[in-house]
Amino acid sequence: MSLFRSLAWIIVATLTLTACGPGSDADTRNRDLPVAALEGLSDTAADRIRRAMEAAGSEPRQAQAVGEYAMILHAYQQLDAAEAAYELARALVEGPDPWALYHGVLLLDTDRPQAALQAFENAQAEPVAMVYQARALLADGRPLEAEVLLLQVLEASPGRIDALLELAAIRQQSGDFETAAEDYRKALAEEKELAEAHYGLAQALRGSGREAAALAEMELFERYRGREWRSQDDPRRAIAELAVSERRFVDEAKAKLAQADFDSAIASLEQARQINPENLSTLTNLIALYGRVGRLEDCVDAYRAAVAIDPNYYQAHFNLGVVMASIDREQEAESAFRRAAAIDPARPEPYIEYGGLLSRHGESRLAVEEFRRALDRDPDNIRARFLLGRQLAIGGDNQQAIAYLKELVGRDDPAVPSMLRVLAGTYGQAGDVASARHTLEIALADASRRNQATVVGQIEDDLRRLAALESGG
Amino acid sequence: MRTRRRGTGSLLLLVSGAVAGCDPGGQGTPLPEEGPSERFPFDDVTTSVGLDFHHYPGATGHYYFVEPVGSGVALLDFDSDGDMDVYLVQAGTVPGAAEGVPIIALPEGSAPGNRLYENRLVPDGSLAFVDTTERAGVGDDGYGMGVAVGDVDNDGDPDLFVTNFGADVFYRNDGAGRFTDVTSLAGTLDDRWNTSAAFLDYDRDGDLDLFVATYVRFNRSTNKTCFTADGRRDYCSPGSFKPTVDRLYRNDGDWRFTDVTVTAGLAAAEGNGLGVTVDDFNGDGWTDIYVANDQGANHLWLSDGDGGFRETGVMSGSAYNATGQVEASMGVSSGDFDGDGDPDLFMTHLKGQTNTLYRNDGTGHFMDVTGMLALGSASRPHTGFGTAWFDLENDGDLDLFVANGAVTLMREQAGDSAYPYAQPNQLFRNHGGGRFEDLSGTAGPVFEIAEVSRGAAFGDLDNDGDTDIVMTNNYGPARVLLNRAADGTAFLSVTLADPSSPRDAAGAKVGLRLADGRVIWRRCGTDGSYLSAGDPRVLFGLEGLPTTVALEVRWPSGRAESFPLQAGQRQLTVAEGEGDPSH
Repeated sequence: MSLFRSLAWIIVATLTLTACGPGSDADTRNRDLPVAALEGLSDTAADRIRRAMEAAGSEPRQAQAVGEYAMILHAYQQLDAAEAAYELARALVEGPDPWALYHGVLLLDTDRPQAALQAFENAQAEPVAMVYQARALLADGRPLEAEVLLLQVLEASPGRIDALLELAAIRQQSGDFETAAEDYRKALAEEKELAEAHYGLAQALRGSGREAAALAEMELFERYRGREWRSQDDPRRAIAELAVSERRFVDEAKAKLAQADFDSAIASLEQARQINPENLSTLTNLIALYGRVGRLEDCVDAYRAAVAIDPNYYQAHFNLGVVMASIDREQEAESAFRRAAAIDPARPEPYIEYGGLLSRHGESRLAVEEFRRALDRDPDNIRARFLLGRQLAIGGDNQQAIAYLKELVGRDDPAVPSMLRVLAGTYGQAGDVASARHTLEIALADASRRNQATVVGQIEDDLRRLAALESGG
Repeated sequence: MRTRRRGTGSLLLLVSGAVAGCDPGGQGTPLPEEGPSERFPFDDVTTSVGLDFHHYPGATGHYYFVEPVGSGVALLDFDSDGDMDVYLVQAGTVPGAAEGVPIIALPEGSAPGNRLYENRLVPDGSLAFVDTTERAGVGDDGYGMGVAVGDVDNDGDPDLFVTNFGADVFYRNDGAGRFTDVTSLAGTLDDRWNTSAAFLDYDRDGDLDLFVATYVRFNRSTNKTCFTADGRRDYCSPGSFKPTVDRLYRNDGDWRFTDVTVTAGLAAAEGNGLGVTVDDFNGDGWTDIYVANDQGANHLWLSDGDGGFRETGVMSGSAYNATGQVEASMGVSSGDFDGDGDPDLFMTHLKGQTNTLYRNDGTGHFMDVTGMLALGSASRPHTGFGTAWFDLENDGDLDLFVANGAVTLMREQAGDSAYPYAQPNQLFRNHGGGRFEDLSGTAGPVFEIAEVSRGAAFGDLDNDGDTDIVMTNNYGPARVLLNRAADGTAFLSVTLADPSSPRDAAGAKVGLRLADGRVIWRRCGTDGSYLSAGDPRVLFGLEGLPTTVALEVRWPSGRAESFPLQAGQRQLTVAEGEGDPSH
């Protein structure tokens, strides 16, 4: 049993928290409103909880406000306080008890199925409550009763997916594979991308000895895996949506980034930053994205915020360097890259990026030095090797360039076919036409194998030009 | 090559007789003064037996991802005197860590590095442990993860393989209580983040090969900043890093190993490997490998009988849980819990998930039966690590112990503890009727203590015929838990001998045929649990069971034999080739 320090905000866990529903207990109605431990929470989370608490604390007490307060606490995992608030809300409510369902979900999720059952029995008679009641029966080791209840749900709502899935699982576990398979198929008829149903059906088919069909279902499961499904009326969905969480915005940003929707990704990350201003990962991603869309001031602001938290955060300096290099602010880029390199001397990337900037500015010798430093740190780095070779070729040092570039032949990387064009060009520059042709042929084969149509076209043009050069003398 | 000694010097010989009379005790645990508790299944005797080891993960507030993983423990008879000694793996300062103030200081007087404790049961007659690390030369001071035990060179004594966050270490047991670091010779030098390891004779050539699970691609510079749902700084999850390929090393003799990962087909799949167990899951006579991958699909590598493996986790039904969800998967144990002759799997998972029991249909296909057997909801509040199937009461069926300890902040402890990840451990009794009972609430002080438990090794420390446990704790003491539930019960301890070499017959399947026709199957091996290695002796609990008739052995070579049993027999040594051929 944990002990709690006495603070301004403490969890009122010593209040009598019974596992039973509050009924019309006057003592429960007169309880103090539970308060949450806000220490360590983000400002947004703490603010939301405080506002909900203020609304719940106004006199006369309103069940609705107290219930909404309970849900916010539930959403932010303040479970002891949430439970006390649900009990209070239920004691205040007159008539149908809308909070019994949420209270029951909390009890079920904290492994008190019998208490959850009592709550669900007081919930409004909706299919979702009956499904949760069945879940509580299962958790309490009463699968037969759960099955009866689920059948009742399905009699009224034949296509209800959550009921079908729970029923199928019960039947599966008891060895009734044929009926379980039917249930899973019914669920899939409602939603064909239901990974859980494909997986369950695969298991049921295997149990029935239909291995080939089971494998086919497993493949469908693999295709749809990761797509979470929840019914629209599922209380867990409502609770999850209340937790305007940093993670949610970060996940949204990732999805937007994958679609190259940089402005939307930034908007999501800004929301995440509001919730948790000290997340270095969010800040460094903002550095990069602000730079990408040309919001330089915001970029520098995010950088300053990141290094204020951790002056030695490698990614912050590196990302700033990339942004500065992209707008040709050489001095600031160099400063950022040098800082990154000093923090993590083993990483080649700062040298690669700074070398690229120097190369664009025509500082060939200095660029070569940077690329050499990168390759020293990571001899297997294809990009460093290519850039060094190319820079040497640009500077007219063909032999050295070839020595580096020819190490790329046979390397397994999508960029290699394009890189080999540079090797071929260097051979050509050195007067070795045969090697140039041979290199292009290797590059062509590689690009074709990778279905790189554009690169294939470019290499074919190179070969035609080479042929023309040869025939032209 | 040394000749294996028989009799009391035999590696696997049990000393029969009464319960070793050691006084109970436990660090900070209130126990009745009158003596061993007979009310509770386990007694914590750590202090009284002198096992003084404190694990130190070296956290300094940077939340390096390696810190919460913990370290393991091995039971082994390193001096071949007939009792199980204990090897404890230490972590220490995170390699390359940035400067910082330790959140908890290393206790004064603690020696760095791994420790070997000699069990003085033989010859002193009572359970006691003495630190013999320096003399043995096994005090590696790398950031220790796990340990595997096996007689690599078939000379009759167990050798050690230690995995580190950093270079692993291979110790050859030279006899006379000393070891030599032969890592370079063996060719297993690997500085990736390796975790659990297991010895197995995958090619059935008579020597033990080595499988090593690797976790994620991580080093100090790739550490990330992560937060809890309510905004507190905390450790990241493995999903923040990239998975890796595990390794299989073939033993070529003379302490030389060849990395056959690619040729054996194991490079075909990556994962975040934490737990490993090896067994013949599809009953074809060849040893397979099961890897518990953290937050990823678990891997079931089925042997093709020709030196290769095929990954069948998803198709076998053992990659995900009943609803097709990936689970955390840390500790794993294989055992025939339902007595149908094939090895089933039990795995431990994160808080918010349930531990998972996969029942084997005998063909290497599994079904998640966790909910049906009442093992689900009790585990949901806890994050489980070390675990094993073992017979708690010697009643012939397999029960479960789970070592628990969180990896994400326990909010209710955050204000009071410098390391707020403590959880109590759990004990589940098999009722034999397809249900398990959670005994934790009534199992006494051992199960009331909340610590950050990780590794657990299972074996008969006091040679009284029941299974005891040694457990490790992050930022906590190792604990010795002596089994009291099976005190005075009937048992049979089996020593398996391989005449082609002095070593124990690791991988052999041993079946005890009863008068009512049933056969209870067990396996000779040291793998499973989490980062740990257990007692290789095969122990059958016989309390309340019909008369024993015969012992069936399926040797690693593929030969099957039967050995007659005498009524009341408590010890048996059998050698391949000396039994009656059976199918």
